Amino acid sequence: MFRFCTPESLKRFEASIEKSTGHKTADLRGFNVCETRRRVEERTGKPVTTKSRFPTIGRGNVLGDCVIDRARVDQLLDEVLSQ
Amino acid sequence: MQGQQPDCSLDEVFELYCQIFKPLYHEIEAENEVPNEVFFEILAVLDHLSRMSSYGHSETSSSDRARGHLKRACFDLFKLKVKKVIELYKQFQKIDLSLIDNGRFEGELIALVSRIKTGAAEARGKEGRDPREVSPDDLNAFDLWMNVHDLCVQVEKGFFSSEKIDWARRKSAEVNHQVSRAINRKSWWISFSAGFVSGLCAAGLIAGLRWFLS
Repeated sequence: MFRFCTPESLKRFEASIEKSTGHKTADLRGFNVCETRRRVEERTGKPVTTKSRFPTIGRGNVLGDCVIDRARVDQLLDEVLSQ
Repeated sequence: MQGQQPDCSLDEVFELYCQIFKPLYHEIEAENEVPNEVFFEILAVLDHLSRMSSYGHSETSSSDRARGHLKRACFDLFKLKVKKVIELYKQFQKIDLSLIDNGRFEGELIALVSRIKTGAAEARGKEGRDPREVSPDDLNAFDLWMNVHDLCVQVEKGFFSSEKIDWARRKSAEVNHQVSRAINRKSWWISFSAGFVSGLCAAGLIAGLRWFLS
């Protein structure tokens, strides 16, 4: 099995996810996606919806209403990072 | 390993899904709005995996392509986290944070945000590299993005959720109110004085004209 990251990074990631969501990472991995959605909807009182986050993310050749290349996506992220 | 295309298995795809993608997905789902772009990537993952049974593609090639899309979905979720923190930071810049802890709070926040920006730029630069082609001591894109994610959570929980921010907001509002009152008072006096002086001038002018005409 190859590694995606070091064990230390994974540990730190799990800790930050737990801090952010208030759930144990092991639980999040085991949760059924439909059940978590229902739980979020109950907690917030609003249905979970989807929203396009293009061009911050996504590939321009298949998404959005205009053609945009990777370089432009990177440039847009640079703009966000320079704010 | 450089230049080689190592074999990828179905297990690795699901390991990436469970270990990294799923917690990230649940984190963003908690905000009630899930990005469409991530669903497109997941659809692409499913499509590649389905080709194993539908078109007889090999597990190695299908898994490798599926893993690529899953990686992209994870990186996209990391990027959205950074974007959210930077946007919140911009909002908080309207508050005079230097009032908190004699400016230490603001200094630490600026330093953390700066580390997030540098880290995100570095992580993005390594996204294209295959983790298995990286030497064991070298950090790959996931390591770097996880570090950035940790910093983002530190900023969110340690700074943006701090009660000190509310105090600074109230204090800034009070200061702004006092300043605007002072400005209003000053502008009233200026208007009053200008009106008084122009009235005097007009009266003098009329008196002078009458005297001249008589």
